Amino acid sequence: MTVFLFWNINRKPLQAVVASLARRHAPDVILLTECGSAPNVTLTALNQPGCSEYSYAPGIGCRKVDVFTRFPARFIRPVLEEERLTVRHLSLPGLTDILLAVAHFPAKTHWKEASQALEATHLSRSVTRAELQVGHSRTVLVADLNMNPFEPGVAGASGLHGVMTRRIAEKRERTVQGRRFAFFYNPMWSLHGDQSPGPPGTYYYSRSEQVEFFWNMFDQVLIRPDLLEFFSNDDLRILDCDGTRSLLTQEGVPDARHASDHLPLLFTLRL
Amino acid sequence: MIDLWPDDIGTVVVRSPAGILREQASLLGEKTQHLVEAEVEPWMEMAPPGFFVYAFRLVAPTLGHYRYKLFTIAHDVVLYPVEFSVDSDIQAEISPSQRELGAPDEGAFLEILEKILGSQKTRRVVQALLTQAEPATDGIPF
Repeated sequence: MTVFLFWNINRKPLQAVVASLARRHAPDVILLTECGSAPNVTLTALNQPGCSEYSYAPGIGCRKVDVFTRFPARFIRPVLEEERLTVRHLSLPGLTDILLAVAHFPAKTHWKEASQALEATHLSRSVTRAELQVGHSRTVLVADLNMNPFEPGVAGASGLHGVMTRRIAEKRERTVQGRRFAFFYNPMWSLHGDQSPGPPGTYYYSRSEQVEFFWNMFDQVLIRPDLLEFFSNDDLRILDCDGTRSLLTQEGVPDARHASDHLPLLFTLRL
Repeated sequence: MIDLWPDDIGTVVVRSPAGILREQASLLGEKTQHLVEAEVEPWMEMAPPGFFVYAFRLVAPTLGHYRYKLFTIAHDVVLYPVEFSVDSDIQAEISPSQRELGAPDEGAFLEILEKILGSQKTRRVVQALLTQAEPATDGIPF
């Protein structure tokens, strides 16, 4: 089993909370975006006496994502990067190799929805390029997309084409206007709202306008059909506690004051 | 039959932005003993009809063909103006006051391109790749 933790930590000095999450869940791979601290600060917090030892696996061109692993960095080498995207070839001895794509998308405060949707087409193209490079599409995309699963950038065929059921995703692709588009399975659909075993989303905001979703699922895990045999929906969670302290306020929304305005994701791939 | 076409209709007088990018891409390999190269990839299916989009990437052949996208350009059928979409670090360095980076003609295009290729971010990525890349050998010691 390979366990992954993803969190947008909102440029806060949350290394102690990250370390607490690591002690609680023992992730093999920790993926952080909006890191306010230098990697060595996080590494020091992670590698306290009696804890698993983590290494920093730096990217080359992408500085928007920090990757820490419980194995040497050479097993998670970057193969394709952009400013906001790092695609790593995760190749652990004796295990099935995969592509791990990690991204932090522009926020709605800076980009219109249409711009986000168009940029998602570029993200999709880059992921496909990386898949061509390594010769397979056993890809998991983990990202703060700053879009919900139902938005065009995530659901659209030219975007990430993330669909809500395995059955649809297992068809691998569909044709639109004469062009073929590969699917991602997007399990985050199933975690949105009250039926979620955990929090009903990963990001909360409330504005005084006609349409307001309140709970958003901006942080997402999307999985290619070729990787589905290694993934169980039961192994994906939105976390609301670091093991000792809640990451939510008394109102049950992300505690942006003491933690982050995003909630972490934890998932496992049985490679 | 009377030929009504002007004699010079088939003469290309303007270099395409993609052509300029390919020229520059080919030069990088020579400067780095081909440890770091560059490629220009068309992204036509990403473009609105009638638009042409290209991605300019650095490539490290001896690092598993690691690729880093420095920027993209977009233009329509008349070639100029060209819109650049660059890394925000590069944008902040070469054009901090402008939200959009555009070139109305070839001269302006070359000027912006020179700034991008000479930017601190570009240098840093190339240096990082050179530091990690090893020259390919065929195992023969002489």
